[in-house]
Amino acid sequence: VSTAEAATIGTVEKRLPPDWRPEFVESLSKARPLAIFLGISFLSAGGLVLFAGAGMFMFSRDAPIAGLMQMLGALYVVMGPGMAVPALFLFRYSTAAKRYRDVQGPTYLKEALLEHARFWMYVGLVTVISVIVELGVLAALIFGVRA
Amino acid sequence: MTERPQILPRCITEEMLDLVDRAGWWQRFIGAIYVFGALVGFVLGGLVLLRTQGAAVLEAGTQAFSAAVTLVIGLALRTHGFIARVAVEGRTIAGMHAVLEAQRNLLIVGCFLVALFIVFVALAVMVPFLMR
Repeated sequence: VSTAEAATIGTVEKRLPPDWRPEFVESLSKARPLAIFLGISFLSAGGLVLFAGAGMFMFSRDAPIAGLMQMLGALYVVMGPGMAVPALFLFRYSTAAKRYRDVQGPTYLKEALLEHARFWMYVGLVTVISVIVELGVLAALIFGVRA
Repeated sequence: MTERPQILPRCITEEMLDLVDRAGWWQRFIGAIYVFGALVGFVLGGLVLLRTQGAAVLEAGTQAFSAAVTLVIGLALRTHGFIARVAVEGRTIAGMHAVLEAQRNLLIVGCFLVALFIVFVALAVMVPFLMR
């Protein structure tokens, strides 16, 4: 019988630490594979963006809009490794969830929540930066067309 | 107004609530940006239709679909951000459980988006071959 299953049995529940909740374990255990899948997706997407950016940067020298293509390529090269950061937070979240289940310590719940908060902070900052970049590109296009 | 418990259950600490609050704030903030972006997307789609007098239906449709997906993500983030706020104010085990379930739901939304992206890429690769 696993620890989570044992926790649901009334007689065993008294033996568990009072700061360890079986329902928390259940939620975190169900979230673990999803976090790992998303982390792997972020890593794969980051790798693809990195290679696409490098290719764009290297092979667009003879293109009619070479300057713009190279700028976009350089942007993608920067963006690619940046996508590994949320993956790292998600992997840490899943590790903390596993430890909370196995070790039954509240420290690991706090750790999972910390990684979760860091993940959303990172996504928020990236969203703000991308909005600023998009507005900048839009303004450059409008003023470029007018000029 | 219902009274809020001041004494925390043993399985929850003030630090944990602070982290939940911080994540919730970011979720509400990102959600607001996405909802605003989706509304702009709908307006742009409408403008494309008006300017081309209905000729660019495919472009407008793509714009509207992308805006609809963005709206769903934005609203999901806002909802989960508010769940976090309620949990922090309630300071109960049920609230913390709701936050953990909400985290799982958001991960499901993320996985759904990854699946959608894979389907789109597969279609983009396959359609030119099928059209021949």
